[in-house]
This record gives sequence, C-alpha cells and structure tokens, in this order.
Amino acid sequence: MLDRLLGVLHAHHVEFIVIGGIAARVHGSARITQDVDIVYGRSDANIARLVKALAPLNPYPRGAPPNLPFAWSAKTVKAGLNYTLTTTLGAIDILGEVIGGGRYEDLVGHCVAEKLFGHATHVVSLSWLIRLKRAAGRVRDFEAIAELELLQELQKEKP
Amino acid sequence: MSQSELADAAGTYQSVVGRIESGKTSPSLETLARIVRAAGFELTLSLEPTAVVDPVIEAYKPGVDQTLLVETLRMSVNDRLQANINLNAAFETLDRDRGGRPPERR
Repeated sequence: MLDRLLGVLHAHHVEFIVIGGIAARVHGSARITQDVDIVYGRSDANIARLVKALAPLNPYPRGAPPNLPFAWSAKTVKAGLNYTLTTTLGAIDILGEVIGGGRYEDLVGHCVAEKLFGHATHVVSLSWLIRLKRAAGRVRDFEAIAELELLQELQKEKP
Repeated sequence: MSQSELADAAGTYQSVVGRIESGKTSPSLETLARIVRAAGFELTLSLEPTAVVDPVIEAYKPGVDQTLLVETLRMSVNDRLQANINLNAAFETLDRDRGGRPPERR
C-alpha cells in the first residue's frame, strides 16, 4: 500500500517530505510503522494537487465517528493544517507544519533524496528526524530516538 | 586523477596534494575548496548544533538490538520498506485470527 500511496502523490506532482516512521525505516530503523507521515507544501497549487491525488482514496479523519460532514477539498485543507487520515491505501498523516521542523519550505533543505519504489522522494535526513522526534517530546518516541541515534553512530562508523 | 593532475587543476603543487593526502599537513579552507573544486565537487560548510546527550534517551540504548540494525542497514532502502509492508500484512492477518485483538508491536 505504501508504494501505491507514494506513487499516487508523485503521479500528481505533490510537493511533500517523508518524515516519521517511514523516514526512520529508510534510514535503517528496524521498528514497524503503520502510517505514512508527510509534510506537504501549503501553496494553493500544491494543496490542489494533494486534494486531487487523495480524493479517489476516500480520505477521512482517522478514528473519527462515521458520517461526519467531512468534505475532502482544498477549502478544508486550507482551513486546517495537519490531518490524520485513513484512506483506502492506508493511514496517512498530512502535516502542514511540524514541531521542530516548521513548514515544507523550512524542512526541504534538510532532506535526502531517496528513490522509494522507483520515485525520487524527499526524505527528512536522519539528524533532522531525530531533531523532530526530540521536539515532539512524546514518551513513546524515546526508544525510537535511542535507535535513531545508534543508527547515526553506526553510519558514522562505516568506512 | 593523479596527484599531479589534481594539483595542476587546483593551481598548486603535487607535493602539497601529497602532504594533504598523507595527513602530514592541514590545508587552509581556501586551498581545500580549490582542490575539491578541481576534483569536481563543491565544498560546503554547515553549522550543526552540538549533539545533546539526553540521559533518558541514553537509558534506552542498551535495550536496542544493534544486531538487528546492522542487518537492516545491509538491506536496500526499498527492501526495508517492503519488509515493513510485509510485517504489517502479517500483523493484520494475526489481528483477524485473534478476533480483532491487536497484538503487541515494537
């Protein structure tokens, strides 16, 4: 599902950065993650592309009761910032801004370009991923941060 | 590219490049930038905050299976992601078999 979700975003030329657990996997984390976290550009054009890309996947607020008057539209995305969604291709968190990293424009300079399932994708760098998780300050992230810091040390040891 | 060729392209002497390569001398930033550029790269510097040692995070490190990390690093990026997809699918199957009760996950 992840490959298809990324494929849909790329097919619509959405500007986004992969962060969170998937970024951690890219950098070598052994932890399993279920959702995709992305930081998306907040320009009108990009929001329009994001809305068009996800519309066929029936995005809906994750964990919300059914039958809410939720309309997936550019107006909805512009009115909010961060959304945790469920789609027919799995869970995705779309973040207009992330604690410790700011917006897409702030974070895009701290990414590595990785080819994920054939698509060149911005993935937040390991050091910035650690920074984001530290800034979030969630207890459940402590072990993940420890793992990421060890990965950083292992990668520095590489000849 | 030989030391002489690199030195010529960078406008310096082969002996300078040789001393830098062998670690006998540390070049100035200007010289280093010239040599790096001659080799087809651009020298960039960035300021990064000093790594903060957090005793809470440190306490978690002995519990991390580093063997697993080394194994994961040996995989390609796509294989790491595919393994995540496969494991999630396996957990979903397990969920269904257990009547929807979620298993513990790392």
